[in-house]
Amino acid sequence: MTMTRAIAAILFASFFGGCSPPIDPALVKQHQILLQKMQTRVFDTNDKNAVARGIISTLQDLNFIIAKADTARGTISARKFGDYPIEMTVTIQPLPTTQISVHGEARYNSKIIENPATYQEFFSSLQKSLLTVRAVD
Amino acid sequence: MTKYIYIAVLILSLSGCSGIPKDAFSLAESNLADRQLQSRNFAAANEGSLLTACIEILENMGYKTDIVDNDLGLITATKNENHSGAKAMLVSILTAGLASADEDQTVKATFITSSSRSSDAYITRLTFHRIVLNSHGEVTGVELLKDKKMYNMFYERLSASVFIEPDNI
Repeated sequence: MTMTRAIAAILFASFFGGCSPPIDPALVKQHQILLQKMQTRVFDTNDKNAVARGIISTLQDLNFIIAKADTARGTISARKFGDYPIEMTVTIQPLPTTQISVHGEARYNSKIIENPATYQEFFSSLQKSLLTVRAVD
Repeated sequence: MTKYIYIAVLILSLSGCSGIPKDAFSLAESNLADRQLQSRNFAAANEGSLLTACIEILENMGYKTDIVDNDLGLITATKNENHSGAKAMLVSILTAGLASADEDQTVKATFITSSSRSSDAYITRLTFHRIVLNSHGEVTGVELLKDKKMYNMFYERLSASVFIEPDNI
């Protein structure tokens, strides 16, 4: 009963309160963890350069225009213009396990896109671009 | 368990707030054809020579380089075109109304090299995007340029510079 009431309250807040963030700090934290998880993939390679080139190629495939590339910091920023302008920042982080973590953050109207399908499609295209390199998760 | 239901409901309800179309991150149907138009395979090439030649060619075409990253094999360059008066009218007709009389156009070129896995070759990829701006500097239209002549002309010049006849992908 309590659970049903809580779900109803969240749905009510979401639909009638627009995009206002959840109030409970514990839920916010959990939400951030899940968001981080869907924005991140780990690839079974230690070739940072090949991953960076694969990301650029993927962004080209998705009709983004490369705005910035910082090899030292491992960040690539790109923009997609038009009716739905999207900004995408991808960060490459080598892990101690000879793997590479790729984190992508897409923004529309300066707000982070939280739709899991967006990131699934991006990483699916990246996986194709990297050919033999396997995504670990 | 209850906590996960809360989170799932939150994500589902908030994901609708992004407002972008479902296919915003989907590959276009023309992706493969576009890639073929934009890419070439240079056998036994030197990556540095390809990048240097690319910069020279783009500069000769009136572009100003924005990014030159030898580590990534990446070059981006921009060409600004101000259209006003009679010329703007002609541009408006030629671009089927994409650019109106008081608009500026920017053409953005992005060139990237990647080593071919099958041989000691380099695959190059070039994209041209036309960005149309109004008099306030706001983007009013963007298109990926698919003029075969434009890509062929660039690759003919690149081929002549590095003395290698590229293969199509």
